[in-house]
Amino acid sequence: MTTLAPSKDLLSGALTVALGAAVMWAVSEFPIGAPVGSDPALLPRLLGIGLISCGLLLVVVTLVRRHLGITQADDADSVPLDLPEEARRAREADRAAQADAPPVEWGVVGGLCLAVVAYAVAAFQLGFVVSTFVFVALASLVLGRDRSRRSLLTLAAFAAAVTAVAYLGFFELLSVRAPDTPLP
Amino acid sequence: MTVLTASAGSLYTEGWALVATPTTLLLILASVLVGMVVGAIPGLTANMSVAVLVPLTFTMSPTEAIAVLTGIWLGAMYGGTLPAILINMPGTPADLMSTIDGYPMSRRGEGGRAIGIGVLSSFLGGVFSVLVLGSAGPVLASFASNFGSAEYFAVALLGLSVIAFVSGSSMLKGIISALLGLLVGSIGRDVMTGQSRLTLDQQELYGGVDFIAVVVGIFGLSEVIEQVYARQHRLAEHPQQVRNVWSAVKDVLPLRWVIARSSVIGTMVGAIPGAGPTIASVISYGTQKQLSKHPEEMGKGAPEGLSASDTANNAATGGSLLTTLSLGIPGDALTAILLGALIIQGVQPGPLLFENESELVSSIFISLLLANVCLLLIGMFGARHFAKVLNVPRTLLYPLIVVACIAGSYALNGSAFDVGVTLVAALVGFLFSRAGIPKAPLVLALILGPILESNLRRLLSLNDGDVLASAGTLATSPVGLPVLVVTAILFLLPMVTAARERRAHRAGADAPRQTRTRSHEEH
Repeated sequence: MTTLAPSKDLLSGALTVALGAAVMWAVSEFPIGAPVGSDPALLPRLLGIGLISCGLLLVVVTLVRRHLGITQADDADSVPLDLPEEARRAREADRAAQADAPPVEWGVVGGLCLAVVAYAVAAFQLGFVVSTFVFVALASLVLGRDRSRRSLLTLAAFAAAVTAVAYLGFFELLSVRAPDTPLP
Repeated sequence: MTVLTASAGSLYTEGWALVATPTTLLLILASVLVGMVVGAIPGLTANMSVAVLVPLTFTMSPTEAIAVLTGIWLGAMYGGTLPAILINMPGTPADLMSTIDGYPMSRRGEGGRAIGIGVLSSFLGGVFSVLVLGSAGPVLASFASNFGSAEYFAVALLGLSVIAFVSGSSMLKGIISALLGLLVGSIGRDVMTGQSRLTLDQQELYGGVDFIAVVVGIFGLSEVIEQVYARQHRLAEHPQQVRNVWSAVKDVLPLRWVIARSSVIGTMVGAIPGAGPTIASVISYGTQKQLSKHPEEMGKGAPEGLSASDTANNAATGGSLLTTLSLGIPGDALTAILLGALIIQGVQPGPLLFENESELVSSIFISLLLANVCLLLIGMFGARHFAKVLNVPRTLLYPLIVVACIAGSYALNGSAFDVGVTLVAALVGFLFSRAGIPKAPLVLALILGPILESNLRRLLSLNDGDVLASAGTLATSPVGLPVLVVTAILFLLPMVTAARERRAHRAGADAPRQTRTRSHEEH
């Protein structure tokens, strides 16, 4: 019983409280005394109170669990029903495999995130066609695509095809006006 | 009670004119195919495939749009069974239970048979649920046509409670996610007073945050980042041989009662607002294990286990659509996306939809039936080829999805601001996953928020702002009261369970101490 409840729950709880407080501050300028049925701040106020309460509760529950040495599966996809024994075993095996997996490649994750943000900016400021082609090729290389001549040629053809389909599908087919940009 | 023009019988005939066009039929076929491909890739969920492709349906007619989206949905649900059976990795969360008996079958060389059982079970479960949808939909819509603010408020609250309850190991985190969804949904001008709320003086936010932009970020872009985080782009290829798919036809007759029972369970669970196919398949598998004549074989490659889970998760689709179409309350995150797509098309799901646009409703049912037929045909004839999807290089696939997300969110309103919303939503989605906060409640709350708020405020206005009188209206409503009681039970149940577990834990800890003491005394 040495593993402690995750500290990220503490952080989540604290951030939730902060967000709730920010909401309460944002709606504090709304006039008080309006009929409750037509008060535009009614829901945001309730939500602010709810967020602060839930955030505090999460912090308290995490601290209590930590004090008692209780661990809990922390899984967004989990099913709260009593899983059959076989499913539970399969999950445990999956978790064990994940625990044994090599560490996260933060360089690749960060590189991809940067490429996505740069693409989102460039596509509608510099030019959709060029940016899309460059992004697909670059992101694929960031993800570790083989750099042999044959593989790069395939990648270039794939990037060109994706660019063409995306342009035709999202601009021509949907009749969305592409922004005026220096590049195509 | 209002009598609606759409009767159960006419719902299977009226919409043929809308569906039986070469374009629509081709779209249904193509969308099931696309859904299967995406669903077959572990990690890429049905939610993601539907969310990313929603923008492409904007120029389609409502019938075509819903046919495409439901086709992708059904296809992805089935597609997820393939990796579950062949490599023990569920393609979508709803296919978790298919791994239990599907993979052992595959290991003993019966992968083709297992896939065949999955296809046939999914098809029969899907068709059953559509038939139930066609007959129960008008009845439910007719019943709901008498709903007032109190009833709608209660049902929307129930939907949020259920999804907070079922979507993760921590109900508290589910509630936080739902509250955040409601908060995002309340950004923009207040519908009743026109006053701007939480807009940070950004003009683009006066109209509110675009639902689809958020969904594309949360379920599309963030999932790509999560896959890379989990090193899925480094996955080795899984060459698979699939043979004897058709041998599964012989299994259908012995499994008829399993399929029938699981179809009923799947449809019923799917119809509960907030529950979904994953829960449906877990319950169905558990029930089958209890009723099985050979429970010791379950988990070791029993066709009945695979059939029970696959039938139920596909049957849940019709159940989820039942509340979505007839009440306007989505059954889960995916039907919330469908609801958002319908609203963009100018279609408002709810009781009036059955009354005013029965032909459209009928076309939705027929499209679903045809999508199930496509699933059967493609699944049985193309299973051998779909196994190759497992080898699609992720280094090409992920950039493709990112482009679809970014271009799709721009195409929503021709605005780069929506692209920014998608990026922020992706960051939130990624952080949610890392913190173990479920995303589905946020999405459902985003679409349920306006329903919840407008009905709450209308209820309060009708009672001159008297909170107690409004609570009285809710408590005396024949629908509102039971729904609120169920909601309260859902909130209290985890606390009771936790208290019981604590007591059991304490008893377990005390037992050895007592034994030790007794043994010490004996000595």
